[in-house]
Amino acid sequence: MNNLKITLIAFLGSILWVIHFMSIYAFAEFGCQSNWKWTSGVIMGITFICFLLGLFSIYKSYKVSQLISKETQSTLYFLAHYGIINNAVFTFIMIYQSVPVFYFRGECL
Amino acid sequence: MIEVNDKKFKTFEKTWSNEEGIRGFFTLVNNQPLGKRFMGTAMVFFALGGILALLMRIQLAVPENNWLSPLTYNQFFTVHGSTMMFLFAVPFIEGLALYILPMIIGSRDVAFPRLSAFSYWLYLFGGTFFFISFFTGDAPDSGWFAYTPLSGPKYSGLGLDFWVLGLALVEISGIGTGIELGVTVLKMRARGMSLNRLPLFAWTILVVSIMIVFAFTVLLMATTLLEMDRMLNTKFFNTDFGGSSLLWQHLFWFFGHPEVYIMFLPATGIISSIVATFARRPIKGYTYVALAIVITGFVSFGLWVHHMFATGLPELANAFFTGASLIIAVASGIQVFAWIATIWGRNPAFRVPFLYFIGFLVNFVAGGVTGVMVAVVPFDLQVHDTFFIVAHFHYVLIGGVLFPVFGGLAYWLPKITGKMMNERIGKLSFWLTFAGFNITFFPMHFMGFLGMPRRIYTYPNELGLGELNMLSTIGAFILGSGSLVFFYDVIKSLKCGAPAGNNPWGARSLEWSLSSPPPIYSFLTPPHYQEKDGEFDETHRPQGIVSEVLTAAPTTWRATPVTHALTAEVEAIQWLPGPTWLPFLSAVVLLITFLGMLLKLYLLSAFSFFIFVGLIIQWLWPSMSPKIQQEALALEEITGVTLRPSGTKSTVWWGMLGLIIVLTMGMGSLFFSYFYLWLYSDMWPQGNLSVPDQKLFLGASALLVLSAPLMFWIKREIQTRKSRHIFIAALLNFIMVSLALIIYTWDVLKLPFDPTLNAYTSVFYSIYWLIMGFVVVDLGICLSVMSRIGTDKKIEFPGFLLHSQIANMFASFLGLVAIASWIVLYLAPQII
Repeated sequence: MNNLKITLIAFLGSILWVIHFMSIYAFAEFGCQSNWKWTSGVIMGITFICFLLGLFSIYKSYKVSQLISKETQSTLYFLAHYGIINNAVFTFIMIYQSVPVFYFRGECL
Repeated sequence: MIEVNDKKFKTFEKTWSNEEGIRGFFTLVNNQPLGKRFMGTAMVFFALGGILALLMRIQLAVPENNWLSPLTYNQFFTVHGSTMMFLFAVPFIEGLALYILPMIIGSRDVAFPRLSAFSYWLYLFGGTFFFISFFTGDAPDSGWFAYTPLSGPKYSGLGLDFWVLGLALVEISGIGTGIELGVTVLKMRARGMSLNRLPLFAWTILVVSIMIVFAFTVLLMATTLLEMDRMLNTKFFNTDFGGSSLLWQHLFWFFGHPEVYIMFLPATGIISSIVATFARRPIKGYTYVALAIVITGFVSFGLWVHHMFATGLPELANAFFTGASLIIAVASGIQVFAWIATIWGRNPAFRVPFLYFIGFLVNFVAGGVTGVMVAVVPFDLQVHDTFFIVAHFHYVLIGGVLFPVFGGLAYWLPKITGKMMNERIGKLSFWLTFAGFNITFFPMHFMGFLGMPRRIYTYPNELGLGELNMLSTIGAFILGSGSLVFFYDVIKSLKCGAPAGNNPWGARSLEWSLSSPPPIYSFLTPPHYQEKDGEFDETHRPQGIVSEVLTAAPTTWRATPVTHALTAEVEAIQWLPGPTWLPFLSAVVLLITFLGMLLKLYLLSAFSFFIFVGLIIQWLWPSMSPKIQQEALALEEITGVTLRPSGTKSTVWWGMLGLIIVLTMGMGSLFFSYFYLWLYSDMWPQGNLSVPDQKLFLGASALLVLSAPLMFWIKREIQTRKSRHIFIAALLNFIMVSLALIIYTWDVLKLPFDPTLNAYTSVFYSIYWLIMGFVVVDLGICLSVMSRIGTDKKIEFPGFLLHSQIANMFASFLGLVAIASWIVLYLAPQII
């Protein structure tokens, strides 16, 4: 596995968060303004998909970390382990940030 | 130790030295003097901003005071805020990083020394330009955030134009330094300093440099749009013509909130350096701290709406930003706990830098806690635009940035000057600053709760806030005296400070292995970074052929090793430029261009811009003489390391990536504006207009899209050293791009509306103009590739492949932009 791939996997959760956050913001602002009734549903759907992808990113970085030797590839080992925590944290952030949508349940206010 | 003979050493030293006298002043490009200039200039602006703050505090000391008029007060808080945010905090940190970072990571200089010089001159000119507004008698008065319509053409005069254009120069300077520092951390580290050994200060600079590239570009675009509204009568922010004031707020705060972390993160890097030194052990939880820095960098871009909670955005959207605002406190908390864990049980020496760390910890945590409070919408609505907010952000900015900056200066000044600061005076300065700060700003929390509004020049006696305000004013003067004592200590140490020695604090990081002050080239032998117990092992001597060959060498030109971005294995040897007039002249000419715009001397503006382009071409033109080329080839043979790096091995490749991100963010800001304006319009296109005919745009865009694979083919041919037909291909590519530009120009000239009609036409034209600007840049790149192929038929020396890679990157980017622009301008209005 090459360096670029390991780096990308390590930051997959962060990239997912950017996509998730931009999407839910856009749907909240644009959907609410247009009185679109599916706004909350779409946001929940996006969150669910991103959550699954986040779990996948944690699994993937865990698998990568198993393939790397700590002694001979210390940088990549660091990056892979960094990736596990990073992806887990951003997966949590995605869920945490989206919690309000369950409170609003279709209302934009 | 590698032996160096005296003659070789002297020639090497001369190569790295600056030219003598006034000429040397304008032509130097070394990181150390430029870093000092950045810091010195920033401190002058800090003093000016501080004086304005004291004047404002005098005005507010007693109720119903008329010492300052409302207008003057508005001007003071505007210039005070802008100065501290744009002209002091970020440039100072950039200057400190410019000076100290190469030493921390083991490089002789930064990646693009001329860009550092250019950035400094732009910063100086921009800051001066900005302050000139005071002498126009019409200083800007719409706050550092310049909300429209107050900052629009209707309510503000020439002063705001000075503010916007001065700020634009400072922003360009910031973006330049951001790219510079980011590439330096990624590519200029000492052999062995892999990513998992990267000092935390360097981590923060890496993250911040990326943040600057993303955030500053959006501000640059926003201020450009504002100036277009003011000068060209476009309608982006004019609500009478379909524009939106909230659009300005979105664009401004998309920059504005990350800006806080752009200042704060390097401050945490400074603190980590201080804590590790005084606790005499590495920071606990290195991986988690590095992670916290990256999380903060990302999440800081998801907070901007919390400045706009009171603007009536959908509650659902607000709630997401509350979530992000709460999460970022956790990321900051990780660092705080790591510092506490590091000093736990270590009995650290309470020297001046460590005192500033304590001051930082107390004040920043207080600011962070109120930050969590204002992240909650109902609370924020209660205290919005009150002195509670003033207290909160001063606790974050002074507590979280100024204390670390003073601590960092006290920590690194002995390295910079070779002289120790006076401990007693330093402690006096700290206690004055700490006490003064808290006396000034703590009461403001209560004032805010009791209804004291911010940005208002006075308050009624009946509010009963006279005593608290008087206390604040007294505190402000104590705080000011703390800064004065600090500066006195700095000057005194320069004159008669005790010699510092190489490592006065017993620190264990690379910069302390150098003499104080360090030589201009920093490292005679490029270091080989080895660690012992998680810190730099000073007993380890450099080894390896590159370190050996580059000891006091090359002697007639400047060079430093370039390493892999992750593993820090040596990948190449980087040629670095020597003294040159180009950065200074380019900055002067750009200043004249801006001045021409301001004074509506458009001919002067256009003329100086053409000179600017000419200077940039000369700058970018490969300037290695044939003699140096021969020497470089010989060096390549001895070391087995390339001096002609290409792809990710080259710093230029990374610089180009940075530029493409800047341009993407610029175009992205316009796309966001387009959809945002559309969202709040009754009809789109506005004013009963129809979407213009798309044939010409589509044709020109198709040419750009086709240019990308052609450029890819040229690059591949050069890579495989097949020189057949590449000149013809490059010529064809040049013709295609030229044709695209001609068609775009023709199309834009026959558009059925003008840019001043309404917000739709303004944003339509802006996207069009920007893409045309990109095509002009691409044309220049194509021309240079063609001329290189024409003049160097054997495709042998240096950077030839790199040149085509750069051209290929830009052509691919342009192809994507052309497609995206077509979708936004023509397709979207038809299908949505």
